[in-house]
Amino acid sequence: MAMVSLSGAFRKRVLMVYLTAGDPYVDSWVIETLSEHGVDIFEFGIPTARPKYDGLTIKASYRRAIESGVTLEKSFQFIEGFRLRHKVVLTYFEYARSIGLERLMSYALNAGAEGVLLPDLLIDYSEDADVYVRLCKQYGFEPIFFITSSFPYKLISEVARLNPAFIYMGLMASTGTLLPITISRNISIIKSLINNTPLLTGFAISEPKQVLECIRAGADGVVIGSAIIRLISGGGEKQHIKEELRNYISSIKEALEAPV
Amino acid sequence: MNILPSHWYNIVPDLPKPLPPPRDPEDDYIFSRIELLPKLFPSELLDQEFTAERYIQIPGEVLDAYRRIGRPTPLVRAVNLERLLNTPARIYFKREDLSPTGSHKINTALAQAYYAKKEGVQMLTTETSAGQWGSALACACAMFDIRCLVFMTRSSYIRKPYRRILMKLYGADVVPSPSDRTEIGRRLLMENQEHPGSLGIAISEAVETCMKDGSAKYAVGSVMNFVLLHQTVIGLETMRQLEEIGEIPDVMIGCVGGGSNFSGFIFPFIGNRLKDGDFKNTEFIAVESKASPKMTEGSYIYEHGDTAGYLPMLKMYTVGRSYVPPPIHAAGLRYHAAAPILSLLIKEGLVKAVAYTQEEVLEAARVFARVEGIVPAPETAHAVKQAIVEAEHCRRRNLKKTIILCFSGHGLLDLSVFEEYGTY
Repeated sequence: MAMVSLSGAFRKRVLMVYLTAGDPYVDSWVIETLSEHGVDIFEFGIPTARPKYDGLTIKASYRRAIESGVTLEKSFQFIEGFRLRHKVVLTYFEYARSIGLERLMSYALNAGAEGVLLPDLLIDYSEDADVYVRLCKQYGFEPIFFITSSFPYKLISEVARLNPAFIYMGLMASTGTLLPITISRNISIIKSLINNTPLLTGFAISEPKQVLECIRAGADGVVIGSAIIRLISGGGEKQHIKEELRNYISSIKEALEAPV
Repeated sequence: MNILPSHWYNIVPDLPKPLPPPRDPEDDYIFSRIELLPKLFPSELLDQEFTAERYIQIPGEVLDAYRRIGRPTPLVRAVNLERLLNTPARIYFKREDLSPTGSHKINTALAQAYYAKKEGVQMLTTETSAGQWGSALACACAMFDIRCLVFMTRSSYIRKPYRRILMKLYGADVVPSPSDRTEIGRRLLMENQEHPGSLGIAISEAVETCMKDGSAKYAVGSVMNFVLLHQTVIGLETMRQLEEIGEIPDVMIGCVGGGSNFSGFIFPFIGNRLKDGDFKNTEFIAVESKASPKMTEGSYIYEHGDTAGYLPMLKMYTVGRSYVPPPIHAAGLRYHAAAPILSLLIKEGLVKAVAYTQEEVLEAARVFARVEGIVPAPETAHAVKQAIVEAEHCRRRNLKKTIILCFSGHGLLDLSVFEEYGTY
């Protein structure tokens, strides 16, 4: 269904939502509701027993998926089952390497994804970055890179020159875990190093005022994961959750589209 | 030239590789150590821990405090030591022993006390064994008028009275750990009234105090990025002092417990090499104790900074958090790991690590005291030992190298060590 390339999504500010493929709470109506109300990119996590950079919410989501019997194949069947504007796959390189990065790429392609994000690639396996970039080219994906505020300036500029679809900047030490970090300062420093490469910011973003802070500092969009997972796993009637999701996404979109 | 810098230097943006983030254990689905951090540390310090900024302004109040405790500290040439060793090398030492509590620890203690006070924190709490860190924090808390609670391992509390007295003199509340102030302490005391304690238990007591008392925060003497950041005041001053006398260092040496004095000493130089290609021939040598050989024999893995595992895991060279070192007196070098940034630099081959035994370094300390008149702390003696080794190497090869060592502290409160080892 992708009409434009992944990087083409950044002609406007972007909302990417993270969900774990196969988490029983991630029902098709959840994805449909999110898509209907303007989520631009869906980032689907492949369940792993070793979620290095995840906070308690996403860890629990991974565990639910694994306990409900989701395998690698099943999680890609799940991703394939949805026709969405843009889909990307997230998995740790540590895991990707164990199953074969090329196999993962081909599964992702078959499932209709447009990219594969490996958050630990540049941190723990920087020597494998070339292989990743080469395979992306082979499978027709634009590369995506994950960075943090603790990345060397030189490396950030270097990966920006590889023409990624976007750079995903993790704002906190782990997903969904808010720390007292001046994100506006860190975002504007990173943005100044990457020219026009689209920059998505995430980790513990849950409120519209944080979205505004990111955008004003130069981010081209935000990623929300834990906040949505908390919303859908908190119990309650389907209709009620749908309503909450709709209101929540609207408030985030409103902040995203605010004039800077 | 103004020797005291206006900014601390954050080396993280200039590292050759990304600094691996702190992590929670993957199999713990209930308790997140990362979530706990804001309860333990003042906000501005956590912000510094994760900043992308290269230079961070030193607050005026901290600069003022630095001046009042004697910064900038002198860089002194060890002419008598050179003569004794008959070496063509020039040896300089940066006198961090000249602070009120006798070590470099005050450089971060003042910053941590300042930020805590600014955020309305009522009390800082920490752990200490021999007491270098505890006494620096007690001094800083006194200067910024904030309460200080130090959990001191019971064995040191009894056997090392002088820094305990010093801390009390500064107004700190010093309790032997395990203590009756915390649940973990009470539990251990119930098992054994005479429990000798350990740094791990003392950290656990300090952390428990912060978890229960919202107005208390935890102060940390090494390992964290922000501690190393504050210590760069040492290296920044040294760089300007060397510029003034027209010297370029060939070898820079420091001792490593957690790595804060050595890191603060060398980061500005390594940073210049990484970003501008300066100091490309300078050798950086970290000296550890053979009693806790994390850099020379440890593994580069994720491990908790504390024995109890209350703190997040950091990627560092370590001999493992449950490693129990043999009882040596350079207590500051008993720590099981080297700070993550320093570990990364070792991994990337920018810093070389060596290890010595207690006997070797105390002998070096004796030699140094005899000719230079200053007694090095047992920790600092490790750096002195390596400087002597380098200078002797220069004598044999007739090399006119410039050797700079970080003289992290004096040993006047550790004199009993010299007696025990018969190093007179």
